[in-house]
Amino acid sequence: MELDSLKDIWKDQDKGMDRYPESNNEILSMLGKKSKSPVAKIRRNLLWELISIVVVYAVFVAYYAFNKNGQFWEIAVLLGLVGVGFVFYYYHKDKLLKSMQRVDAEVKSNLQTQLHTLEKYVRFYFLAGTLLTPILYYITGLVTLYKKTPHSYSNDALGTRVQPVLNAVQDHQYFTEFMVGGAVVTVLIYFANKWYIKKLYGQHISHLKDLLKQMDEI
Amino acid sequence: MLHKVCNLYCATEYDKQDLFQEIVIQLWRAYPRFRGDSKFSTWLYRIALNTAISDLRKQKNLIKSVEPDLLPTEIQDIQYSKEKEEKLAQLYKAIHQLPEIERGIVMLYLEDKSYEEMEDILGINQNNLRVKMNRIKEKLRKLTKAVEHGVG
Repeated sequence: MELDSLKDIWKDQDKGMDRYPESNNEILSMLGKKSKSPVAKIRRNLLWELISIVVVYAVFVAYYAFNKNGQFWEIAVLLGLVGVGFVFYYYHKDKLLKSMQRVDAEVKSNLQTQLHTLEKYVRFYFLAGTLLTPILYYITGLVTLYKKTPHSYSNDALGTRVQPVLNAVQDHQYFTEFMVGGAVVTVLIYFANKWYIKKLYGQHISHLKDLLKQMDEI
Repeated sequence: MLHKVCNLYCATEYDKQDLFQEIVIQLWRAYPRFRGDSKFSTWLYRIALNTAISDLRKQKNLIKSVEPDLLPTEIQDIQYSKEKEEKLAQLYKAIHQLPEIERGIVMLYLEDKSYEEMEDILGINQNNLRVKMNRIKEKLRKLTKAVEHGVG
C-alpha cells in the first residue's frame, strides 16, 4: 500500500468525525475540568504534599512549643523555620513545573525543555530531600540531648558559654546511639529518596529521552 | 484534525475523549499567548502533538491494544466504500505500530503539510524529515503487507 495513494481517504475522514463534541456546552464543560497531563498531576501531588507537610509541621511545632511548659521551645522554632523553608522549596518546585506546562513550542524544543526542567526538578528534589531530614535529625537531637543532660552532670562540667551544648552532648549517655541513629537515617533517606523519585519521575524521564532519541535518529 | 490526533495516539474511546479534552484545555490556556508568529494551523498542530506525544499513560495503553477491534470506531461509522474502509483500517493499524514521533510525521504528511511547515511544527530539519519520511514509507509498506496477511 502506497502512503501517497491514501491521502484522499485520510482527508475524507474529516466528513464523519466532527460529531464529538456535539455542542459548545460540551466544550465549555471540558474547559471546566482538571487537566490530566502528567505535569498537571505532578503539580496536584505537590500541592497535597505541601498541605501534608504544613499540617504535620504545625502539629509538631505546637507540641514542642506547649508541651512540658515549653521546655523544648528551640525545637519548635527550628521546625517552624524548616517549615517556612519548605514552603519556599515547594514554591520553587511548582515554578519549575509550571514552566513545563507550556506546549506551544516546536515539538522537539518542547521535549528538550521538559526533559531539562524535569531533570533539574528531580535533582533539586533529591538534594533537598536527602539533606533536610538528617540535618533536622541532628539539630533536634542536639537540642534534646542538651536539654536532657543527666541531673548528676554538674554545671562546671558544661564548660564556658562557648561550647556548653557540645560538651554536654558529647558526654551524654546516648551520644553514640544518637550518632549511629543519624548515620542510619542518612543512609536510609538517601536510598528511600532515590527509589521514590525514580518511581515518581523515572518513567516519564525515560519516555522523554526516548522521544528525543527518536527525533535525532536519521 | 484533533480527532485524527486522538485516533493516532489512543486506542480506546475513553482515552480518545480524554486526550481530546486535554488538547482543548491546552489550546484554551495557550491561546492568549498566540501572537501570530506562525500560522494558526502550525500552532494548533504543535499543541495537539505536544499534548499527545508527552502523555505516557496513553502510549502504554496503545502498546497493549493494537487489536483490529480497537481501531478508531469512527472509521466503521463513516459511509466509505468497503475497500476504502479496509485500507484506512489497515493504515491505522500499521501507523499504530510506529513510534510516537514517526506517527506524528506520517499524520502531517497525510495532511499534505509541506516539509517547511513540518519543520516548524516538529523542530526537525527538512533534510532529516525527508530521510525519515522515506524510511517511514518503507516501514509502512512492510507493516501494511503484514496486516493484509494477518501478521502483526
